[in-house]
Amino acid sequence: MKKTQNKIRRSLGSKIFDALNLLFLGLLAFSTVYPFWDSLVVSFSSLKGYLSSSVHLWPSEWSLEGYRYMFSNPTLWTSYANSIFITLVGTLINMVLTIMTSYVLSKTYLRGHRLLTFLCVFTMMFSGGIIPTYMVIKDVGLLNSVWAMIIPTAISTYNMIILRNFFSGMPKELEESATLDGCTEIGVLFRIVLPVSIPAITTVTLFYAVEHWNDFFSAIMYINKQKSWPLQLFLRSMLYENEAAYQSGGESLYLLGQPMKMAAVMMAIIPIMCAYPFFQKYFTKGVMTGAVKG
Amino acid sequence: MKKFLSLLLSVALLLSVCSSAMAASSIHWLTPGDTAAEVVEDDDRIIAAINEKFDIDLNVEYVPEGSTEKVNVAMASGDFPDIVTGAYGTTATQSWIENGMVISLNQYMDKYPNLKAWLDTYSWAAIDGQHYGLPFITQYSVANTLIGMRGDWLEKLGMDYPTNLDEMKAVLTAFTFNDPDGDGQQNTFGFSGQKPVANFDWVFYAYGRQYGDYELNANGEIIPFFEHESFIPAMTYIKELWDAGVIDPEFVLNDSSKLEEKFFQGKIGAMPHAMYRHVARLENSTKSLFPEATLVYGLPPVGPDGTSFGMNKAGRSGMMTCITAACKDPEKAVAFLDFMVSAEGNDLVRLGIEGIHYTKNGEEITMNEEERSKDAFSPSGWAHALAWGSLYWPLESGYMPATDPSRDRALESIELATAAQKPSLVKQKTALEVEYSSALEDIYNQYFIDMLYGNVSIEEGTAKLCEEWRSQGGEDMLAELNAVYAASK
Repeated sequence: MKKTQNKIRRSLGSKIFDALNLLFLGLLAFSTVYPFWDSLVVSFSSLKGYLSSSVHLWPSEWSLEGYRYMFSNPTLWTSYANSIFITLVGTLINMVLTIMTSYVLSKTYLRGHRLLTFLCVFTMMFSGGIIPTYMVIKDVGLLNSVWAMIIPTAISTYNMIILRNFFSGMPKELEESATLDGCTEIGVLFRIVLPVSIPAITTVTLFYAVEHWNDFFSAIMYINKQKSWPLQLFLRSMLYENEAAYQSGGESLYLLGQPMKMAAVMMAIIPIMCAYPFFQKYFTKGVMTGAVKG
Repeated sequence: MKKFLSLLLSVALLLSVCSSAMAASSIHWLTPGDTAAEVVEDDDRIIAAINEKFDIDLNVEYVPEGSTEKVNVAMASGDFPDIVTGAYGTTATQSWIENGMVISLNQYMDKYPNLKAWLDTYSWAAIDGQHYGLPFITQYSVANTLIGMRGDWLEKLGMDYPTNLDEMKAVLTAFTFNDPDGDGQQNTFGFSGQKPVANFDWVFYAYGRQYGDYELNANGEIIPFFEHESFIPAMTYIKELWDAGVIDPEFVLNDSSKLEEKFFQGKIGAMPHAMYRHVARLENSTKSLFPEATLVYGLPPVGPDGTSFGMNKAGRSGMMTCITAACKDPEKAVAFLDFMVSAEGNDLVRLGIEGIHYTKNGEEITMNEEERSKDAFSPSGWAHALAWGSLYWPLESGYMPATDPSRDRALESIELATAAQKPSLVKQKTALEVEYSSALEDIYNQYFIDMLYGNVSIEEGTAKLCEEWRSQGGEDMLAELNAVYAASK
């Protein structure tokens, strides 16, 4: 009796292809993970441990000096608080405004929706530039305030269009049935449309949150007061080396070794990385499968 | 939500209105300052002392990351402080003057002697006789850079710090091939530098280059330094080092921290580096892997004539502190700046208030670190946040706390580096220099690398470099420079 073969016989070519695939994708994955891993390892190394080898797979001499130095700086904590505030409040405002705008613009029967969409998209192509924007921010009194990092970017046209397209693709019948059951316009949005749009909304929320968390340029431009700095600007200013100060003996932070710099980098990226797993479970497809029958 | 938003907006608006209402009686100074200095708190006693002295409400605003662009944006958008510090010799500061955004200080010079003394030092910076600000040129008459070497390697090889180019070549060769670290492997390089073209100025000066910025030809006209007779022999020497393999081939990629790292890791034996406050740090960091390591430095090597040497160029750029046309009380702003450049003002921002931040017993000064930490003083006897970045840096002031253990060596390194500093032919930056110099520098860098790599012979490369440099704006720039130079004589 022949042995039952429960495996599909694979050609040599297919095996080689798989092996190469694995190798190639493995290298690709390694090349993205290694810089992160290297930074993480260096942040936990002493200066000696860092200098003693060029490849860092594991700290050859452990040290928490980098983190100790960072944690001992009181500005770190205010900047953490600022960043968390900007990210939470900013994203909330972003989402409320973006959802409302894109929902309205997704209704093609509304008069003037084309003009409104055009006006929004226009800002994507043409912006005022740094100086006019600065003047607006100054004249509305947002200089030196964390709100300068929230209000001017309250709606991103790009994200708004993503959501608008998602809403447009939604079956009309869903909303009609809700209206027939006596739901108000606002009710339709909050009870019907939003619950089935969770994947799109989560994606856009994540876009906004990451953007807020990583934003430092608007802080450089609009915020001089160190107490209102977000985390990214504080950390950048720690890593930033002023050439004149370096040459002429100012209080430059050139005294910081690489482990301290990497500790700063880790502190900037770990919090936002922790947010991903919580969002991930919402990235599910097919919420609307079978919502409309017949 | 809308209500909440509009409430927030109105609160933000109200806050800003309040702050601008207070600014009426205040002096608002926008400056890059020293980015890494301590944060000035509201109850800072140094600021309070200045406020009391001049009856002002001083509000010093530091832009993040020492970004002069940020200062330029604020000025360009009409957001004028009372006092502004920008980068000297740039299109931005030029436009402040041309557009009447900053005022002339000439009328105040007689009444304020310290201001006058400062402006007299920089008399060449006046435009049509008018001083529109206090220039502060970094490394104007003091320098910092020397060739640092591993002293323990020299000792092991039985060599001394080189005093001439031949000895230098011998040392760099021994650093590369005679296993100075004793690990039995040939894994060291004699010399390295920073991108884009490392610092080989010590070779050019050893072969007879004279000035910091340009050179003079036989007719006494300004020419670029690579048209000077010293260039080709110097370039030949550098190429010999390169061909011998004693120069780290990765120098074109090194930034300052990468270069230091290679020194700390014992991969290179010599590098040009700022000394002064760095002396102790460089040595201690190298000791972390090699406990026996020492850092030595000295005058750069002399050339074949036995006398020529040099390393550093007199500075030609820096900051400029101006009083804006929007300043409501320019007299008080001038009085404040006069104080900032006076001995009394320097003492206040460096030492603090006598009896609180320090005590004086004859000549001996004792810092009270506990009191100093309550205000914006940096630790270990270093100065207040107001002290550096706008009008002074520690190097130019020769400042080094008496308690610093590496004080003597730091000051010695300044003395040596300054002895190797070369003056400029033209002190001010001309308009075309501001416009062309970075593009012209790129041309030079490209040819330097081509000649070093042997893509083109030195004679041919130099001839092509001169031609291209002159045709890409160099010719016009030289004409302008010669006019300025002739007028200054």
